[in-house]
Amino acid sequence: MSASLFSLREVSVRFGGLMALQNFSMDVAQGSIHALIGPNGAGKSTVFNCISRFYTPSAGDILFEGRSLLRLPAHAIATVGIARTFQNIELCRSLTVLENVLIGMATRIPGYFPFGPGRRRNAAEHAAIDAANALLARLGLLELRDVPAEALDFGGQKKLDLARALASRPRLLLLDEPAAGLRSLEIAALDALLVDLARNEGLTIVLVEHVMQLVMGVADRITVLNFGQKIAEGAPAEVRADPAVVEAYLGQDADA
Amino acid sequence: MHGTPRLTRLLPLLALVLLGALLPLFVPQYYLYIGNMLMMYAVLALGLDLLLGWAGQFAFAHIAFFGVGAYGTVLLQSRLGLPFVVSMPLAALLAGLLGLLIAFPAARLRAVYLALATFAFAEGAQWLFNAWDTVTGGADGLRIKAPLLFGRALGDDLRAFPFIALILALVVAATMYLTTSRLGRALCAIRDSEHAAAASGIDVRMTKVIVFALSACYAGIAGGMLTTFQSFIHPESFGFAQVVLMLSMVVVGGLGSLAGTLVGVLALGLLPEVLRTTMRSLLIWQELVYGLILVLAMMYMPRGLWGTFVRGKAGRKTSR
Repeated sequence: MSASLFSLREVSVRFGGLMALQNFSMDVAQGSIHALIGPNGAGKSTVFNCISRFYTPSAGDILFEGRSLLRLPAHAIATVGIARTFQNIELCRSLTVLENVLIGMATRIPGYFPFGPGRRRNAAEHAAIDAANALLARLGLLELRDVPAEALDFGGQKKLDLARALASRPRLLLLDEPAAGLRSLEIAALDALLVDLARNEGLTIVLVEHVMQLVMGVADRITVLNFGQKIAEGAPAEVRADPAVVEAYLGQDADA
Repeated sequence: MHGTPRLTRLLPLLALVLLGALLPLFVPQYYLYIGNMLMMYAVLALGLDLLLGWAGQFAFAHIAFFGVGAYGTVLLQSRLGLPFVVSMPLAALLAGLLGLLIAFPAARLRAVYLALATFAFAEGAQWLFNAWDTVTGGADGLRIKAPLLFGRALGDDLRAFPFIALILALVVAATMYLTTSRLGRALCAIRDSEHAAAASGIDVRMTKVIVFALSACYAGIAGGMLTTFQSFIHPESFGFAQVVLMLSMVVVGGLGSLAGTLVGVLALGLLPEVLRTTMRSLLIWQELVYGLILVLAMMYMPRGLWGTFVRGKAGRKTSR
């Protein structure tokens, strides 16, 4: 296995009396698809929110390419090469599809004011729009690019959330339940896209997901969380056979 | 919306400047007064819309910066002997700096806490205008000497009109530039989802601070405009009634839209004139009418006049 790009070291998160995460460690190999699964409330989204620097762990460290993320503010996480999607799709609803993707490119076109006269004023902006068009074409959203995000159907909004994350050309992509609510045809397309991104473009992906069809199909490695603690880790076949995992899922939360 | 701005978009502004120069030649003074007020309110409302409509920050301190701009423009001339061309931009800059100062704590507050804190700030400023009578003239107000612009006196509606029109044209041009720039997009991102904005690499706090300062600067400019056609300012000009009026203009016209804000200013600015000529007895209920319009607009027209009747047909087109 190649070197780990990203790791959590004994991370604990406490909300008042509740331990949302307890001494949680995880190593994500460069170019792999690493799934993070577990019953509802196991702490999966908490892990993402720590990486995004929305939460600060009470203990432990988070390393990306050997650097600690905990010293960075939330907006610098995108700059070091980490992008994410959200479980409850977070889009700029009134802006067009294209404008949402351009927001995802904030790190690639730095600065607020494209100064300078006429055409040259927008050289960076134009390059960004071209790149955004290409990305939208890849995800099948190009025809909808001038439509407000709120006018898209659920699947379309999910895709746009993903497009916005990909727009920053991240090296690590965090996906928070990308398949939730999608139809199986859409899940198959997502499956193919994720595999293409990881195998052909070297993107490293951490995937939080309940849809096992997707997880078992694409994951190189799976980490299982329950009540804020890691209960299993390994290749999909190993994890599926692990009695602790079976108990966590079937014993308490059969719907997953 | 983004991309190279077409020159044709600047034509209405040129028309505005021309009208500003020509209208005073044949329009009665009273209509020029209404025109000056509307153009000043337009600057005030455009600044408020940046904060409220674009960035989604529910802040009420705007009226205080309006006061700082007005008192500042007058006092910098009378106390420090600065010429008007220096004192007006300086007062606007001062308002912007004050906006920057309160932005640092305000950027940490959300929703109703932000509204309350900034409302308290505005009340405090009005109290200061009232109480600091050795400087502001207190409740008696402050008499304004007609400011000189390159040797020509302004000071009444007729003479100030071309200047006011020019300032509005410049402010509208600046707003077109700001809102179509990446800043405009960052503001929308923050309004719709601070988490998505931050995860996309937008510095949420810094963007809020910038928009607070810009918005305060607009209000300061409007304050300076006021001193060119009024001969008197007093603390009441910077009170709650004005806050309700500004809010109504922005909300009724359409939040987060330059054209919508201008429509709202026209609609609510002309309302008292309409009431005066058609339903005189209603005029004393003016405040109530504004409040009612504000509530009804929020309930039935959340996208404002502009958003309801003009946009909404289709999404915006991005050139290229």
